[in-house]
Amino acid sequence: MSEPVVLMEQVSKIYHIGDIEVPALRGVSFTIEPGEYVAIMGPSGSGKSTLMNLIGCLDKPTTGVYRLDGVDVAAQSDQELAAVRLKKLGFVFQGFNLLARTSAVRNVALPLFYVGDKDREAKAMEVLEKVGLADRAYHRPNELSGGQQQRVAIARALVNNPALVLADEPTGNLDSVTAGGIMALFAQLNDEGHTIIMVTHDEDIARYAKRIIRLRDGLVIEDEAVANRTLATVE
Amino acid sequence: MSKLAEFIGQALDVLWHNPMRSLLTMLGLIIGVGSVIAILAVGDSTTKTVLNILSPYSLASAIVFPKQQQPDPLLAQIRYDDALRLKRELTDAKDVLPVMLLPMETRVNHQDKTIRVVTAGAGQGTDTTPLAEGRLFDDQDLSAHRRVAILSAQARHELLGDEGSAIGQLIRLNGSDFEVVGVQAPPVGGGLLSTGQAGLITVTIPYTLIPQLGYTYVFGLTIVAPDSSQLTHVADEAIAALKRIHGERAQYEERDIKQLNDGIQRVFGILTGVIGVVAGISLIVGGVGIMNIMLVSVTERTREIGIRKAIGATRGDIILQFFVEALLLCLIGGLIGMLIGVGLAELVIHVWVKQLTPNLVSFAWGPIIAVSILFSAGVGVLFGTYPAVRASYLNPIEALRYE
Repeated sequence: MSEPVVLMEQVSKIYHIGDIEVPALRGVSFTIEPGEYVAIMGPSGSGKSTLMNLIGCLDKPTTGVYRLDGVDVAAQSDQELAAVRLKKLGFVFQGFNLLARTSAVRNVALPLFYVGDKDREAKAMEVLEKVGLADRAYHRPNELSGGQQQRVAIARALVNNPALVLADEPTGNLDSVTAGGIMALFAQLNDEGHTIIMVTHDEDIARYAKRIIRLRDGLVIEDEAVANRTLATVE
Repeated sequence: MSKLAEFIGQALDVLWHNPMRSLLTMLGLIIGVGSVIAILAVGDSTTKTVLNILSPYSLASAIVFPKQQQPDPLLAQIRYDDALRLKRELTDAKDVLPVMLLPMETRVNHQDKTIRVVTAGAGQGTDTTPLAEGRLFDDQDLSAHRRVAILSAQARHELLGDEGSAIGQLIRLNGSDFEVVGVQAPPVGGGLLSTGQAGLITVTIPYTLIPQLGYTYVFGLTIVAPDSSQLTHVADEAIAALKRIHGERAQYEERDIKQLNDGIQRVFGILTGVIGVVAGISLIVGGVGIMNIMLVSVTERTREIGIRKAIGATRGDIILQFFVEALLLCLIGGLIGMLIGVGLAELVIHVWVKQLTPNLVSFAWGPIIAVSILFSAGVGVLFGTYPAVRASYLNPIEALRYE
């Protein structure tokens, strides 16, 4: 059997604010296999953002084991974690987080730039085509609608062919129609084999995923498949 | 290094995107580099111009003559024959010639005129002013005691006028005729320190005429060394030899243009250095200005840094990005500063140095360009590193949350 994309075993994260210890995660365990589409849910303060930062290799667990696509994250140096993010992860943020003065295609090509890929514009173009924005490739983010910006961000997340696409409230800044379009794109990507984790507090959005992990007070309180999944349709 | 080229392109984009801010950021450095370059260029040009004024004198020859203050002035007097003896004794010297400076009378347009007559040997001597026409003295002139003369440009103008050729014409000095064989070109120095100075008109005649004109004693001896580096040594030997002949009590001194040359270069060098260092302080001020704006820029672009780090940029990538930006800012500022400095220098040279002489010598571009690049790159490295390193240490989680 192949390596799980995400393997968490008794992962905890404790923040120190002054002398006070604040536990954000208190022993979280789950695995996510290739091809899964998982929503992580929870109210604010549940540890959902902390978990996302850990999965995204932006932070390291205090205790416990986290393996991303076979790599033991806790054992990596900051330098190595940057390489892990570059090669194994694709981020999609709530606020899109595109470089403002840079065209869509060059935003998409940014990870390839850090890899040192000479062929990056052509590859970026291919992915832009896939998210349906080839005709907007040379527009800057401020010339694109919110939904288009998020598609560019998704293209950027995919361009390195990552083991995992990690989306943080990907529809939080979008109206429901546009959000539906983005969810349709995620469903399509998942059908094509991409592993997706989506962090959200929106029950309706979470129901587009195949599995929901619910957090509360730093613990997993529920982890089950979605019974009546919302099937995304392109508008 | 396509990554570096890309960083340079991105940095130029950033700088170009906000040209007014970029220019204001660079202003301190522009002023700093500009003033250093202006001082260097003016110093270089002035030194060369002054040296050029002195250039008609050979760097490889010195004149040795008795000091004014002597225990026994008669004892120290140099005889015409001393030259022949020293020439035999000083094996390191290329030549030893007696020198005489004589005022002589002539008549121009029925008026008496005093002329300064100097003596010289065959070929190129101490005065290396080029000839406008004719020739230098040759060995035959000397051995045959021919009454020939070379006129300074001033002498030619005063004695013969400017029409036609002067060669072959006769001039009358102290009652005897001399045939003009050569005429010097006007002096480069425009009169300052040159042979045609202070209204004196100079005529050069062969030194072998000195005994015929009735002189036993001469003003001094010209000592010619094989090259300028051996001049001091040869001149010292000449003085030692003269003391052997005239006794230890006789006092002699040596004058040569090389000492003056070295002195001028040293003085101008020190002056340029001191003023340059003061101007260099403004480079530091400029550097601090650049660091300040780079730190502001890092703060403003916290979110961008967060995005880049989240995507997988390493600390090195972030350092390189901001470092290249600071360096480019400095190099562009340095270039502008250099152009302004050179322009300022040209202005100073043409307004003030030109009062010294119309024959200006320009500064060398090599050191100017090298100093500009070196100083501005130095400022970039010195003051661009800290903001870049600081940017690289930003925590991506916090940076992404930054509004």
